[in-house]
Amino acid sequence: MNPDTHALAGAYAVNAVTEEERRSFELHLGQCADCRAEVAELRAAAATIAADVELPPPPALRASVLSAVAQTRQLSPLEETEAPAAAPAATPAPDGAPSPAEGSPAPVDAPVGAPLDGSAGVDELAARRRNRLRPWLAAAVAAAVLTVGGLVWQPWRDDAPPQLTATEQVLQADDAQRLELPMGTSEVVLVRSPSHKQAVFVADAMPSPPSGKAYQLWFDVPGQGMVSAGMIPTTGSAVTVMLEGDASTATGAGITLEPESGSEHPTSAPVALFSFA
Amino acid sequence: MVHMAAVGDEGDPSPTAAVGPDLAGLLGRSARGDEAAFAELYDATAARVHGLVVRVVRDRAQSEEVTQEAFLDIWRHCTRFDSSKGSPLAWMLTIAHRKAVDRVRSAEASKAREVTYEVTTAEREHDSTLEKVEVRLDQERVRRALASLTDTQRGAVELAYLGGHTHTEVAALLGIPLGTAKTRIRDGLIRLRDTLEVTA
Ligand SMILES: [Zn+2]
Repeated sequence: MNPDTHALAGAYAVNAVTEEERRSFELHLGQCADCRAEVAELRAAAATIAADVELPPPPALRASVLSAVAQTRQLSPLEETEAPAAAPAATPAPDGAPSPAEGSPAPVDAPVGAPLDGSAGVDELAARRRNRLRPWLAAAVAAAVLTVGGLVWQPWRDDAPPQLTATEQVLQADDAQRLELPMGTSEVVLVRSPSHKQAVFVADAMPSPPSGKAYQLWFDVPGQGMVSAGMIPTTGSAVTVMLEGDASTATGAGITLEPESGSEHPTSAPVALFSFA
Repeated sequence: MVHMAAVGDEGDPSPTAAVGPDLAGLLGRSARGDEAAFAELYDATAARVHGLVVRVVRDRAQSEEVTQEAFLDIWRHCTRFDSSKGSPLAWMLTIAHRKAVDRVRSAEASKAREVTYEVTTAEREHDSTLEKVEVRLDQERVRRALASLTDTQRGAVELAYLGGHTHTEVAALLGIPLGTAKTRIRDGLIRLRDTLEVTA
């Protein structure tokens, strides 16, 4: 086995992998007892990282969970495929959940867990999310669904390089240009690949915009000035977003605070400016 | 400080130690369809599960949805939990973490228009979240373990686990080669495991 494959055990254990890497690594897990054991141990270790944080959910959530539970069918301990869940709220197991095939729980035993659940059509929500994330992968996902029976078999080789998302392709491009700027309490990074004609904005701790405002991305296009490259979703402070538009002809990029619906032209001074020169 | 004396009263919240109630027993009863046992399980673990979810997702309203999704998944899959193969809490937190990461990534992929509501919510909720966070008594033990990591290992592990980033994004954020981020995450987790002497 390629030693590089084992090296993904840590990232896999903390879900720091793309869906494609996940599938590829789960194929490896099926064959590598060492990695199965390591993933289980590293997950247990990772679970302690947030041990200092306890936050009781609001009391109403308890009633909501228990009410949903009363309407949700549990999986058979042994069946390899699952009937559609009764409750619409039910979602598929993360691959961290037990492998249906083995009737065992350890997340690691689940090389087939995620693909089985995810592909069995039960997890429509997750499937939709994946599709929205990478429309061009929809065909591949659909293909995986069709191949699923009692056991999962995926149509790519274990050692085949995982397919990359559009974002990953830019981040890993040979000609990737990396520009970083301090913002808030940490740094934000813009990675641009002229050959892919795309740029990706990555931030770990984006400051919250003021109420009613959102961050808007701009390309500086010769002859046109600042052209909108989309809004930055600020659901969490960790952000990875692909800029809209041709990054190869732009000479720079910027970020401004705009009304939540976005602006046609920047209406405030930039909070960040990147020069591609 | 009197950590050692106090820990016994509260139960050690680390995933490997016994936590007050017999979680494995409650999971076993839940697996036989005992909703009352599941309610007890919820009461015993909801603060840990939700605390982790909020750390990753940040937004309060979305965190609540994710916590609910996680508990439903735990309910559906507890029929297949085997206590001989791992700690109940680690198993539950693994499920919750995956849900949280999925939520963060799907949110990032959607347009800002769709998350306008969360934008305003996130800002409003942030401070109150921090105020309510309860610092556990065994924090010292975990902090020591985390301190055993090198700065670069700790940074990579936290960006991955708490930030919900892929190793490729971690590499981009830190300005390090791709393989290096992957290695740092793994080496950091291995050291954490060895220091805590946790077992799956
Ligand atoms: Zn291996």
